[in-house]
Amino acid sequence: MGKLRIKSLEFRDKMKEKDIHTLVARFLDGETTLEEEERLYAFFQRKDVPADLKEYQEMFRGYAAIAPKQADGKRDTKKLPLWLRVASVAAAFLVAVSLIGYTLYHYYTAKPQGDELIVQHPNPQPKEEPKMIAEVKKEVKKEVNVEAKKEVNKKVVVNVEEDATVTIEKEEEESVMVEVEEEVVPTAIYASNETTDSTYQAPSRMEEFIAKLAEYNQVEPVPLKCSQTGDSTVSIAAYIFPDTKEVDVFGRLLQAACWFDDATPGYHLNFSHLQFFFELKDKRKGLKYLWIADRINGKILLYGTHSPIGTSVSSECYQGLRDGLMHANNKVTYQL
Amino acid sequence: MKTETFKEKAQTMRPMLMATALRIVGDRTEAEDLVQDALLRLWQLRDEPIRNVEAMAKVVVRHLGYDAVRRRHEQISIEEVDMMDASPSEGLDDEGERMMEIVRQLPTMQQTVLRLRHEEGMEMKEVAELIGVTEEAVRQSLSRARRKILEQYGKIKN
Repeated sequence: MGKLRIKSLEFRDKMKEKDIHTLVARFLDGETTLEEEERLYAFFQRKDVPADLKEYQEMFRGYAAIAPKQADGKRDTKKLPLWLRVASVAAAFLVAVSLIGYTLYHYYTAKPQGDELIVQHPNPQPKEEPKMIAEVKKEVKKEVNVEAKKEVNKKVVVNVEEDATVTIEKEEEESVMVEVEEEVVPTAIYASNETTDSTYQAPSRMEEFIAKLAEYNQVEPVPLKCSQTGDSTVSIAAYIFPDTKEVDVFGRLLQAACWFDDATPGYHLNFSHLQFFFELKDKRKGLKYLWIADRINGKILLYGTHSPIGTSVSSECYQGLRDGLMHANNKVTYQL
Repeated sequence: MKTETFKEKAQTMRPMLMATALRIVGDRTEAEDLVQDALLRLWQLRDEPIRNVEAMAKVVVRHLGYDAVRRRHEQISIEEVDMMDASPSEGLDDEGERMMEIVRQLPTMQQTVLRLRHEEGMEMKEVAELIGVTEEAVRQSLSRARRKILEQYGKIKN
């Protein structure tokens, strides 16, 4: 009985092999369906691929590796029976509704009463604010994830304001709801002092801010020895700040970036817990500005440059600094 | 296609292609390079019976963009943070990278068809409609591409 069973299994494997050979041939002719192609990928993921099919294994694994990820759901849903699909949609809907409900509930009940900051706004709040908050949320979400993994380095980057409290509301599935209290509006505190055009923020104020931040923390500008400094139209300043919570360079930079409306010419802001990237253009003076901050080896390298619009600024100088810091094991050398 | 017709077409398509490229790479200069590269590749295809050149151009730009983003991921760059959500299949493992290295060597038409089929999981009919050729032409290009890839894998082994 047992013998017979082994025999039949062998027979089935033989059949399957033949089948696979046919499929491979059809695949090479471009005649297989998507389902058949997936069958091939699955077959070649096995460890015990028969010798005469071994030659194809690496190739099909390559195809499997570039195939659309299951995460996009497109092909998964195709295979799911209808009732499961309906059920999954319904479940997702329920989760969404309960999340919204919970958030709203919390929003109305937990919001502090009567202690709102009253600030005179020179003009209506800038449009970019929701976006900023969203980005901050995203960032904080990341940070929370990192903390969850119990990583040693858990500095909170996004400190919108010293007293901005970040409350983690609820953890559900993978998403973490984070609310950044909206009372803190950096824009209001650093209102423009231009009298003619109150919406205009000179990008050079960002540079002044950085210079003051450095002065306050007694950080000297890094002497630069790159070719660009010879060009008088390109101005570069670089600082190496200590990466501490007190100095909080990332938080301050982000705060300063909030002075600028995202409709500002050349506005481009991007940041993660490792890098801050901000671009602006000053059309009145015909200058473009760029600031980059990098968290490297317990330091923060802050690099700012402005140059006439249209000139190309190579990143060589910055890269040099960056590499210098990366390879100087905590001992900072400014050799470029 | 005549040179003049191509030039005209290229001019009208350029803004659309720029937008596509810019969305992926996020940098104007780089996007311009990509569009240039894509148009050059299309120029090489001018004798193929492609009905919908715009669609084909868009697909080519998209793939060039993904490649550029992926390459940037290999080295640490200033703009790294910009790229986080750009590509559908970024962060490939070694097996995937090896495959893509070979795929990128394929001629434009074969590469486009193969990538639409394998990276985006499209049906033959969808591919044919998207780039404006017959299903039979798609099948042929795909077959040629797959055979070339098999050949390359054979070479690696030996």
